Amino acid sequence: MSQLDVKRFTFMQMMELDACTRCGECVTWCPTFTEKAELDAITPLRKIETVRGFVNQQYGLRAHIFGPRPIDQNALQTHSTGTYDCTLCGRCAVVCPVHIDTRSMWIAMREMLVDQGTYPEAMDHLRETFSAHHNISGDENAERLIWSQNLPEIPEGVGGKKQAEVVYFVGCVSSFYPQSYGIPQSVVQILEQGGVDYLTLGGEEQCCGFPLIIAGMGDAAVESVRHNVEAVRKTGAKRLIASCPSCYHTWKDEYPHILGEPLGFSVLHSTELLEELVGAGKLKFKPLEETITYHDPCDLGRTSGIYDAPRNVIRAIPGVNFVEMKDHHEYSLCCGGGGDVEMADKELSAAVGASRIAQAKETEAKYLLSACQQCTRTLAGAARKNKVRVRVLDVTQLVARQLEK
Amino acid sequence: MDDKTAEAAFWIGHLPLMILFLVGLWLVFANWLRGSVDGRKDASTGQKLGALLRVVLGTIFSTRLWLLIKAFVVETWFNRRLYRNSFWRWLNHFLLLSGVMLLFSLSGISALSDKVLIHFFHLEHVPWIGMWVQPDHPITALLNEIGAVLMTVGLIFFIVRRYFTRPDQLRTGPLDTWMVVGVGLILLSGWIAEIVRLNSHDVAPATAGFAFVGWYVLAPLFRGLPLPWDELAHWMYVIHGILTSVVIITIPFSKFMHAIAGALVLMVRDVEESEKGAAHVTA
Repeated sequence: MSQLDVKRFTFMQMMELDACTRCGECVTWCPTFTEKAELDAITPLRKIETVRGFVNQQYGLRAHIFGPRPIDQNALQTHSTGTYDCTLCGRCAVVCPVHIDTRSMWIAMREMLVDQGTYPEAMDHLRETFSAHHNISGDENAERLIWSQNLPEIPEGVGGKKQAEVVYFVGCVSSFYPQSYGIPQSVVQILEQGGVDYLTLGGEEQCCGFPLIIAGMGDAAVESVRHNVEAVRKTGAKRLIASCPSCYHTWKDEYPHILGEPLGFSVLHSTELLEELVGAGKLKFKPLEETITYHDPCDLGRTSGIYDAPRNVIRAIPGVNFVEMKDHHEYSLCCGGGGDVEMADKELSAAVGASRIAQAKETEAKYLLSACQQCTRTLAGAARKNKVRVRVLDVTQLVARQLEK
Repeated sequence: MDDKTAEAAFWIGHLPLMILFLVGLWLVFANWLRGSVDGRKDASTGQKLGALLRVVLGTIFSTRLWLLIKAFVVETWFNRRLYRNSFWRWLNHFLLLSGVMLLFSLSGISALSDKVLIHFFHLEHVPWIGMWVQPDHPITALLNEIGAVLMTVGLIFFIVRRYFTRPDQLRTGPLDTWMVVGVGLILLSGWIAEIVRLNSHDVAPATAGFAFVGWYVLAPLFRGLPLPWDELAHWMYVIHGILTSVVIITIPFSKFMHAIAGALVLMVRDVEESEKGAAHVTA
């Protein structure tokens, strides 16, 4: 039994708890509930109803007359399971008839659950790893440029320069997970070809804090946020690019909010810069006579509103037959790799990935592209596991392959 | 019971219930204020109220007011997000909401005309004021009838979907059932009051037909019954009014609250997005 503090919610979110009409539209679109229908606590409708119930137990009419009732620990535990089994894909926000900003709501709920001490143990491990190593893998942070060792020649921008126009923020997954090394390798190859004055931060780069923020442990990321911003400011860069949509969103939307001030430089996703370079005629492509489909990463599409840039880049490759999957743009299905669900429930994450890979299979595309190292990794795993013959790549990887030297 | 007694009985019941309704609304609003405003988690309630007031006044007394009005019409009334999801659900919601808004507005205008403009300023001779207190005035009768029909059809849609077709996505509970019962009570007592009034001697037959469903369909079904229609008309006026007030006091503590909170959320989001020209949907 415990008391509940709602300080993690905003005024608007408290209002949103009462705005939910219980229409259930979100239930139809929830990718995790589709795969785990026995757990009703996952559904957006139920999460909101549960917290509204908690709030009423503590501060409702009856509480004012007879005193607050403590929160039942079992109910809190069930709510925690449902909340941490959510990929934070935000599809429920797209279809919600009263436009509840569900993704922010789920993060606030996770913060509340952390305050209550009712959250998956894996999140504690994440926080400890982050604090000790400043990254999510637990590797030595100074090894962040290990992916560059396979490049035929290490460019000056990688670990050499101290000042540049553009900082390329590589991100933890691309830096430490070998199956994602191809993404930063491709990005730097493209930057070189495009004549961009860039640098990487190497060991000075720390995790952007996104995994902790969405785990409801954002307070533990503040120090790294300040460190990262300071490191970029020292370079005098006017732009920061990220090939990871979650890093991109965190830098662009969360950092100014956490710091309480503007960054002083602009933040772009790698596909935005690619679109710019293609438009300026700085990148030319060899033709590719293949059918290609594109998976919208949740943090790039629904969270950040970037749908066209990656598609425009893919369509710029001559010969490409571009096809959409059944669910695309703001209705895109999650890959299953978001929301730290992989840490909380690996099987659920894989099941969502399997559904998405099935949609890719329906298109008969030879290439399934995404613009996110986590989506690419999750979808490649789903393709392998479900024996679907499709090549899963990041947009930057295909672009680098098709570059005309 | 005569006219004056019926009206006195209505107000004696209605006013305390409306005070309870306002207390309930304040309790809900006080809960909302437990959330942070402007990212300040430790601000006092007074500071939060001040910050909110600045935003509200800054919106009302600026060009954003037009954005807000547009948001109310497009997002709240003609809920286009719901339309994108399902035409039939949209129609259901649109009928119910339009009916409620129309009848609520007519009640408000009628009370304003009667209790302020006529009572204090004696403006009953002004046609556009006097007509709101005459139930048989063609415009008043027609608008009230349209509102009631819209609400009734909307409620029937709602009941069929919630309790008969029951799509998997629905989680029907006491909150949903109370909404049906509450709206049902208002409508049922309203239609009975209408039938009784149209069968009483108070009605003006020349214009009563503007209440088209009541006059041509419902009232004739019962006209032959040997009932004291005049007396019943007064009783039903009081019963319908008090029942409506009882349902209203449950608004802050029931699913009805989404009508207020949902409308506010939709308007705020739409204004935010209009201002930043966002192509995406999250705030």
